[in-house]
Amino acid sequence: MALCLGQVFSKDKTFRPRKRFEPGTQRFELYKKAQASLKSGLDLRKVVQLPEGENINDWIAVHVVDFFNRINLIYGTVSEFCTERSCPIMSGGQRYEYRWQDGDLYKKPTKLPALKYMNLLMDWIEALINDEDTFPTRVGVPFPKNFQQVCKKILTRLFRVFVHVYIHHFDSICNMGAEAHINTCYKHYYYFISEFSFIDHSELEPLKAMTERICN
Amino acid sequence: MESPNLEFEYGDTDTPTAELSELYSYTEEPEFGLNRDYFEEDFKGHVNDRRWRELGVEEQRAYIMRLLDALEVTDRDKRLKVARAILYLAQGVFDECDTEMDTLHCSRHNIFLLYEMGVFTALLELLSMEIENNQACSSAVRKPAISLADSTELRVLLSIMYLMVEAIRVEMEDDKPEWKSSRETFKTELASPLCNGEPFALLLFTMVTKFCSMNAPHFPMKKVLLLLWKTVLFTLGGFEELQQMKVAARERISLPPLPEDSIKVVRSMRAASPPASAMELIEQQQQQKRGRRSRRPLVKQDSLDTYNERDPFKNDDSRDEEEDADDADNGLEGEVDPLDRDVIIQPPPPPAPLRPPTERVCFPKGLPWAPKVREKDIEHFLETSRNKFIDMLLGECGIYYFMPWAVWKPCVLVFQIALLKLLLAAAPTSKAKTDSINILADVLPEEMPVTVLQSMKLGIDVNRHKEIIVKAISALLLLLLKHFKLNHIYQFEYVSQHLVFANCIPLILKFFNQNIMSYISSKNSICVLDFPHCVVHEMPELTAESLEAGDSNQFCWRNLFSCINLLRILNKLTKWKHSRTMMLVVFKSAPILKRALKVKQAMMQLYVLKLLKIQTKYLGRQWRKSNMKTMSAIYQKVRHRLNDDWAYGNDIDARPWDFQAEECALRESIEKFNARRYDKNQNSEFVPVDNCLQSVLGQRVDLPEDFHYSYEMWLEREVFSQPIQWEGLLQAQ
Repeated sequence: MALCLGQVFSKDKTFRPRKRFEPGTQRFELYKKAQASLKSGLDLRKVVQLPEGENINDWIAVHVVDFFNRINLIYGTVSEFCTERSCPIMSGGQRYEYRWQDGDLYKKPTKLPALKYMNLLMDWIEALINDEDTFPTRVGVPFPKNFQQVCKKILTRLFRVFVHVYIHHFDSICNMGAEAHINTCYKHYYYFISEFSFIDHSELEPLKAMTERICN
Repeated sequence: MESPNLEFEYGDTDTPTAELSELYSYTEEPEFGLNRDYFEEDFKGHVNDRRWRELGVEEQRAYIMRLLDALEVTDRDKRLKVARAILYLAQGVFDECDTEMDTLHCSRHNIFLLYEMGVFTALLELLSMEIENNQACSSAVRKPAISLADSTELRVLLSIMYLMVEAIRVEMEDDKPEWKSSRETFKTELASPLCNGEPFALLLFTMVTKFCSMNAPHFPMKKVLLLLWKTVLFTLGGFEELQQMKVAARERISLPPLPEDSIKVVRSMRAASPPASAMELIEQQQQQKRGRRSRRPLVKQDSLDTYNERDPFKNDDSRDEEEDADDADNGLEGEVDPLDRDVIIQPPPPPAPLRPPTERVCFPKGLPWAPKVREKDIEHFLETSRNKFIDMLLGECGIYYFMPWAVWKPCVLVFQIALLKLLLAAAPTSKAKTDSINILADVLPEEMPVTVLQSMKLGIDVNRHKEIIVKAISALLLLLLKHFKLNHIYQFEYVSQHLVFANCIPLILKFFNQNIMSYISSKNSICVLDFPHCVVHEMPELTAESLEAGDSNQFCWRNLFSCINLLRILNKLTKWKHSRTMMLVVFKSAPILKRALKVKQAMMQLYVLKLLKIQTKYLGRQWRKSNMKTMSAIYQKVRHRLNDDWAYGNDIDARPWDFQAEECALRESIEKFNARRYDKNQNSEFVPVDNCLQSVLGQRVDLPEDFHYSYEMWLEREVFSQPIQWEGLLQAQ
């Protein structure tokens, strides 16, 4: 699968902040009150740093798979509330909209319901992770040269899951008592991507205020 | 919508009264009076003007002696009458009793007396005769329609024997000491080669196989199975005894004690139910929506629904229709999924009071089960040490007395297939086929029902009959599997493998592929016809309404019991066996098992969750993402294995699994075990130590000449002349 990543993931096509927007309804603001955290005693900022003697690609690979698994389940907890009717497009409130493009079935960036977007996203990541050429599992097999780029794209897209869940489904998260869990996962994720500069600032914009508050 | 937790206490059996009433079908009800009549006819002829309960014990004994003598006549009809009289005694001479408790007390007293007088042995002979009555068998085979009239003698005999086993098996507080010793004696007797050198259970098993091979279609299977189950329960022991034996066995080979008593842990677990918060969410939205209208019709869900989890814990069969688009309740963002539509559209239920925070579903501070680590090496080591140590030192204590493995082994295949055939026939989803076995032979009346009421009554009776058969088989299989496993792992593997080859796994899954909620809450009983209620109280008139209403129970104890047993059996068959776990995946068991989670009972949910947990790795990320509630429940309720990556592991491509190779390898080990231990030419190195006292003492040992010569002198010198230092006992070591 020879992905020409530059084409597929042109930012200005799949990530579209609207210039004019109506202020969100109250529910889209809920996440701004996010605060709770699991007090694990770990300094998440330190924990993401590359340990001595560790191969950076191994370090990244392990984290990517781990975050993928966790974010997958986090989305799963609210998936029953994320329907075609509730979320007819994949978005982060009224302001941010995401379109799917994979160079395969979706050659052009396509507006999809959040649910569909998520499924495609997870399948796409899973395929990459299971691909021995991209994420080699056998000892001695090296990572591909574009490995970090691939991870960058994966992590960028995974970030969008947080955006959507926080902005559209934070109430469900709170009702389930999972606020601390998602916040902790997000913090861990944020420190990781910051440590290795995986995501561009513009992509981080939707959750900027919240991040400033809880990731400090 | 949300049903309350079922108050269910799992155990070896139901209450003694419930077990008792299940012995009889409602069609047999007229025979109670018959028993009494024959008894009184004979009794009056010998004892004037007095009632049974007025007699002294010696007089009662004497009368029983008479009955025993009367049993030895050649006239079959006369024998039947005497047997009925004995049955009446065992049933508690209910005509002389005022209350049900009274009847039960009297029954118990009589039964111990009957046992002391050797009635059981006499009945056993009669039973053997009936079984071998080829004439009866062949006429039954030729009969187009068998009814319970064809099994009358057998039913009477089996009923008496069942009553005796049950009464003596169950210990009561006010038992006399001689009853306690009778209990021990009876237990040993039943386990020993009573009839033709075979244990009683084997005789009953033979009846089962004979029936299943269509050679004796008149055998009353329900009674046979009940008696077989209780005999095994009595002679081997139930769940508590199993636990004690397990603890003792672990101590003996110096294993660390079990981290918890699983029975106790499960008892304190609560069933999973939809989180309170989901209710509140729905309430909120209901309130938001009231008064709003929009013309947007409901969007029909497309196939993405397959990924959306239907709440596995809610009972909502009505949501299966998605037709009504007229309801214009509409598209506010964040509206609840149309799958939950019923909640919104129907007249809102009185709003559930928002529970105070303390009652919220909270994550428990600790999980119920201590996590375990399974290192394959340790397991392997234990297995091989078991072979060497338990084999050699402990011998096969329990199972040996029940049925020597060497005797049991060749028959086990046949018995199991017979049991599974019966289970299949009795399953609620089974369709009657003309050429298959007819398990209703002992419940169908001679004359088919004429009125609607009679039909209803027979319908209930038939369903109840099948439910009881399922109960007995499920309990029996589980008990045997547990005992075999405790006795020797390879006995267990042998039996399990044969069950698997006999398609036990799809059979159990098929059983669960029905509306489990309605099975659990079925009301196939007519209380006024239950024994002993029906003989002590006036019979009210039955009406169609009263039959439909059934009883006031929340659920059907025996059906819930059966379900749990079958789930436990399925767990035992699939645990640690990759190939069999894959069978669960291939048979698409996940949706079937999820439906079973609707039953609000912690123990049943636990065993369902365990079966789901072993599959999660193979079901894919999509499934796990869409089934978070189930994943959460697994996390909360099932023991964690520290090496088990059930939540994140992803082995979808484990599909080229070699089912054949795994099972063959296992089979080889089993064959080696059997050959090593039970074949005629035994390698002397592996002969187990004989620790049966009688056989050891009974062996002839050739002592050398000089031993004979010097033995007495040795005794004199080394034993008799040596003073015994008794004070040594008083000294502290």
